[in-house]
Amino acid sequence: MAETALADAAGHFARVEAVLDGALDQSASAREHFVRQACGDDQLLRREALGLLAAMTHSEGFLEHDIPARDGAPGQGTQLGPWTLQELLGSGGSGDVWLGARHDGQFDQRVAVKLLRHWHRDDVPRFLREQRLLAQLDHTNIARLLDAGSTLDGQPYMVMEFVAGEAVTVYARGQSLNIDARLGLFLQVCDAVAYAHRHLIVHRDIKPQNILVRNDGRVILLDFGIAQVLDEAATATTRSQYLTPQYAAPEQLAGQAETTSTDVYALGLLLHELLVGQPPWGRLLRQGTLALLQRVAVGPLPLPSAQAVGDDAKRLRGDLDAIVHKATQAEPDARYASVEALKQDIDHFQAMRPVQARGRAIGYWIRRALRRHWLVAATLSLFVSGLLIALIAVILAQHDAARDRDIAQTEAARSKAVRDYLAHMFRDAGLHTQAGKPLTAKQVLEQAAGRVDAGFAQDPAAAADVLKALGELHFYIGDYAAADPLLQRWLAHESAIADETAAADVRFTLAETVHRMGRSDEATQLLAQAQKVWLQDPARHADVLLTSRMLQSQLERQRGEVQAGIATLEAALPQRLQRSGPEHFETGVLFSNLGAAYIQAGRFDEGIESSQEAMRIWTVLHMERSNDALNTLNNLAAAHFRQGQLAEAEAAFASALALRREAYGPSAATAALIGNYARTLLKTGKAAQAVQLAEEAAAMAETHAGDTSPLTISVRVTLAEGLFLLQRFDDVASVLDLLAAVDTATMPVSLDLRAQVMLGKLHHQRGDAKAARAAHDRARAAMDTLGPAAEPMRADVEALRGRIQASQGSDINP
Amino acid sequence: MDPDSAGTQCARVDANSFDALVDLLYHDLRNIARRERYRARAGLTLCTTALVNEAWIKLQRSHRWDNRQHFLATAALAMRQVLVNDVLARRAAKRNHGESANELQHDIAAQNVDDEQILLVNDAIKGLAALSPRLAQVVECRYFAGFSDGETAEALGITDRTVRRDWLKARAWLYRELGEVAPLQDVGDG
Repeated sequence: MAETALADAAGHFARVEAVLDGALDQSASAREHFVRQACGDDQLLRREALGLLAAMTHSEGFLEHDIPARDGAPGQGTQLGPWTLQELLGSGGSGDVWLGARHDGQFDQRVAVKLLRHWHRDDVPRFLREQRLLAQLDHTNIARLLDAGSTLDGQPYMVMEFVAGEAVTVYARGQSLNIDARLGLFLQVCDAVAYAHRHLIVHRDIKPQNILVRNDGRVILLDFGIAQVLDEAATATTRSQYLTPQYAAPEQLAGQAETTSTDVYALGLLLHELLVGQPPWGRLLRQGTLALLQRVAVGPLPLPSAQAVGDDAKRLRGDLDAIVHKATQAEPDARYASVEALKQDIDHFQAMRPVQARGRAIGYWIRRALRRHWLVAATLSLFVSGLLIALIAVILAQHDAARDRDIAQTEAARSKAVRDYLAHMFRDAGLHTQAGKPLTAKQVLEQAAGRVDAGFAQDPAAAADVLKALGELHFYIGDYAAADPLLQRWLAHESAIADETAAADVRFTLAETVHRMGRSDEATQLLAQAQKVWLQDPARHADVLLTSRMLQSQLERQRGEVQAGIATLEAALPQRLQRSGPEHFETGVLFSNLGAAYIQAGRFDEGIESSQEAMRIWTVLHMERSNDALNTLNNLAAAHFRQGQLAEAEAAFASALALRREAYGPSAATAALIGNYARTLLKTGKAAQAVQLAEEAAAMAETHAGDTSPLTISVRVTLAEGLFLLQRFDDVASVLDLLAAVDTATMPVSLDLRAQVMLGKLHHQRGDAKAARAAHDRARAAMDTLGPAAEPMRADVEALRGRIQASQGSDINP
Repeated sequence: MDPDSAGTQCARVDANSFDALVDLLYHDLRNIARRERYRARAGLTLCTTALVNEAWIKLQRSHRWDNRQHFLATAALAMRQVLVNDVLARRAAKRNHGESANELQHDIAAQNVDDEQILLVNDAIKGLAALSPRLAQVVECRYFAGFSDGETAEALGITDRTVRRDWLKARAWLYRELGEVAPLQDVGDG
């Protein structure tokens, strides 16, 4: 029967296969002998096995698709122009890469020579034209194209700067870089790509293998424009071979137009891989057809946080997920409009400002919140403002807090959400104003608060949420007068709300609020109450406890307990380092505050050291332009100033001022900073520059702080001091006339001291000995009142006395 | 085209998903094969890769494959069928319109060699499948679908090493079967 015959044949073939498998375990020369032995007397088996064994040898290359090597192909020692090929570095889809060197002896230079695999003779002239364009790319993060040409065969080659380094992903893994350091590498890549885009050149093959990191940490992007060149020198079919399935954008796979957006997509995948530590489509991927099929099988790109583990996953969730998601949209139009925009979002993430990528999510948040919080909907549906988003963000975060056992984590997320959306809100508020519809954050908040009372009767729990959120938002926007009653009202309902942790939270915010309103005793009491609750479960509330030590220390120092204030911070430092590591935002805050405390205690060297550590952290976190860095710089400058390190002080003040001008524009605090800077310049003998700044500061202080405010007076004294050095005595007189109108009783003694010294100098200059002596005596009295704090002014007072004595020879009070 | 013209199904696949895959791949492969296949001095692997390049987005939209192995085996079989159908279609077109109408005229020699081989191998592995279904599947994956050893191993659920051995055996068998037999030495001894 036919079936039996077939079964027999299969059974026989199975025996043949078994013999051949055994033979394949032997060395090539021993196989035939093995087959003969294994088959024994079975002639049929032996004939078949030996036949196939021979066919195995002869069928080498049969049915294989590899392109056979051409004769005369370039190899070791081949000379191309001034370059000699030395060693094959690698073979890729686009061609072979050789290590090369100059052989004309002009200079010693190692280069990478890339010989393109797919080319057509007709396309070579265009290839060479393209290379001339690419050679103009001159960027620290792009491997320089040095030369290009074609072999005798016509095969095109390009010569690039040889880069010794590791692929960026390998480097990040090898150095165990944290997320911020990985973002740092990524930003370097973005810089390079953005630069090329400005020169209208698209990379089109961005992948880790094309991005090397040298051992000095500099990122170098290779193979710029090769894909483009190749594309024009090759057909769509060959293009598919050098496309890297892992990193190709959908439009590339579909053979559609490749634009700068194609690079944005690849950058998104690269970011994904850098953050997660494994390729975007998972470990299964290899090269070739299967890789593409796998991409199909995987479906949409998973979010980075879904693939990362541990703390990284938490940090990735949210903004970084959103950034990768936006960069890797299938539709080019849905991605970031440019590499710059992508880069900006990373910057925003690092500065803890809202990222553009979350734009869509916000709508989702609102919808979700409106569903869950009817009261919020009722409260806010009338308003069209970014504030609505801020409010909902806070409320959502609070609800998350109720769910989440990890209070500290949620706490951090919440304050971040508030910061993010407030920043967002202010941006919007500015736009509204320009459009002629001024609707400040404060106005929106006030209107919202007005409606809360009505809601309280109906649903105390929901109203409590709104009160708390509104109170916190007012605090965060610096409107303490408004935050105070809102938070107090929450506490009035405390027993009905019955949430001890939330109450501690509110008390902490209220403590911060009233502290800033000058009610220190109340703040101290509120803080102690909050800390008492947290200390019932210190492990759970470890983070907020540590954070509260900042305020505790401030209050202690304000009470004059400077040592206690320092001790509080010093005790918090090791815990903070343990919880957050040496390069964390909270660690930076702690170092910055500790610096301020040391400076306050007159321990300037330690103060400078702590402040410098804080600055280092801000730099690592790419926060050197943040408000926190600004505060640290102010402290640092003040400490240097007090130490008489005027050059350092001047530099720190200059940096701080530049930052503040950029971030805030004219304001009272800006005026104060300009005033301090001007004082430093006076001491370094730059009177003209000081006067110019002091004039600006005086006008600004008047506008923003009022005519009689200590700030305005202080800046005016500085202005007078500068004018005096410039010998513009009439101008000094008119500035001092302004001061004379101020009620001296309301003036801080230290300012009165400076003003009197100035006045004495002016009177002396004008020959009015009596008035000069009167001013000196008042200065003297002010010094006595101030005690040690007046020390920096002692030399000036002594100098004034010396002048008066020298010209008059008469005694005045020593 | 008759779906059975690819011959015996070497992989065990579900008919519905197979048909869906063929529907998706068929149109794209024909277009690509027509446009690009013989312009470069490249083999079949490049062609199938290009095929999948252009088809993958559609696949992603319309299909979810829970079982990877099943999906890959199906894909390999689908590619084999589409390639064979395409050759047959091209031949039919040539008979109907004459060679002058063929846009690939200048490459006809190369085209004929490749087309011929596709049909010969397609026929021959039916015989191989009767002796050893797995060897035929390896040929399907390696030759028709252009999978690498590792990819083939994954598609068939066997080790890389087994794929390499099977490929050597299958290739030798086909080499002999297709008439390119080298002279044997002292076979009859013993």
